[in-house]
Amino acid sequence: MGELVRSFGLLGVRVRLETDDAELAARLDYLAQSSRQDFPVRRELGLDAVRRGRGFDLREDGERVERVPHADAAAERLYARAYAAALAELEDHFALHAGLGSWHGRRFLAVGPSGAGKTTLLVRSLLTGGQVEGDELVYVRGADATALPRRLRVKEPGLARVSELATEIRRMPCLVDAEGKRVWALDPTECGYGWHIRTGPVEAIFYLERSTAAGAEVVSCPRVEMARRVMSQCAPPRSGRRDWIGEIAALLDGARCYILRASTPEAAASAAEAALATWESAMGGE
Amino acid sequence: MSEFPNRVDGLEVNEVSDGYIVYQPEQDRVHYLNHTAALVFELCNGENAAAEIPELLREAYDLGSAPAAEVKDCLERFRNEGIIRSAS
Repeated sequence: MGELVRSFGLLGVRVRLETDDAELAARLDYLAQSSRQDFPVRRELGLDAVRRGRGFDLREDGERVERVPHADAAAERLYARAYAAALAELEDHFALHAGLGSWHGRRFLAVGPSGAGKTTLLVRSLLTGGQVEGDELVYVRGADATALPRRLRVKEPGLARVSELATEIRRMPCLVDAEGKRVWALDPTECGYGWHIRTGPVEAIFYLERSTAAGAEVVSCPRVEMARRVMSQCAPPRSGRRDWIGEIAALLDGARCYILRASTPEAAASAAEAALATWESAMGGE
Repeated sequence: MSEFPNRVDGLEVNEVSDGYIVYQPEQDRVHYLNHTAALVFELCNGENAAAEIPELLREAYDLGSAPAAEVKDCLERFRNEGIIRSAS
């Protein structure tokens, strides 16, 4: 068939993408990523797209599954199939709209609605020794959290907030969203940083809130109050399991909980780092 | 006639260090109880009269006076939300 495009890991699935079309291949760069993931491979998934006139035939493990009208649709459907296969292993997990990273050796969640500044906080953490796992969805089972392996989405207005990396980010795969804004798909390894996705507990949870007051503040949050906020960003397990709310309690009880209020994402990032750095020194470097 | 509030059946009570997260499956609702509300909830066991609960809280928190109004509001909220029932 066509030229091999990419092979990459998505949790327990090894995905192999092929296409004979250069236009589609460029779009698939948005999907492929180089994160290191600590999951045994349970399934090999072969997805390929063959140009047929204006459209594409999509095949999964050699079997034709769909015909789509153009390259954008082909990329979207291949993305959906790859992630459906990966997430089939996580049906008992609840999903949290959050970023996940580590700073000063402390693994943390950055929780908040779209536009709260999660991606900017995580990307900025790279500049001062932090590590990123994901910026959009985190899957939780028991008290263990796993980020969805996906390139970080840096939107055009937010690029100025990570100007130190703007040159590298502009070289990365880019799409135009529904509002006509460019969105780059950042793979930290392409900027020289590590990217390691793992499963485990978190030690801090920041709930991001925008503030009109200048600067930023980090305020300890009672766990019951954090539960209310976190639940607003949760989706229940797709398996229909009913006892997952106890796992929210376990997640919260294992972590320090903070409200992070900031006027800008840059201020939020500085405040989060300071909170984690101060904690480390207060604990005597524990 | 004394009222003896009691927790309804079927609630999923999840404890965190500073309170309870209570899931009510029949209504698919979640309730968030801080430490004080959690204690009032625990005291709703069908054996404590509603009138006694403020004094029990006073003792538990070593308060100067029994928080009667706050307990009354809390119990009313619990009744309205359907997580306690009253028995006489």
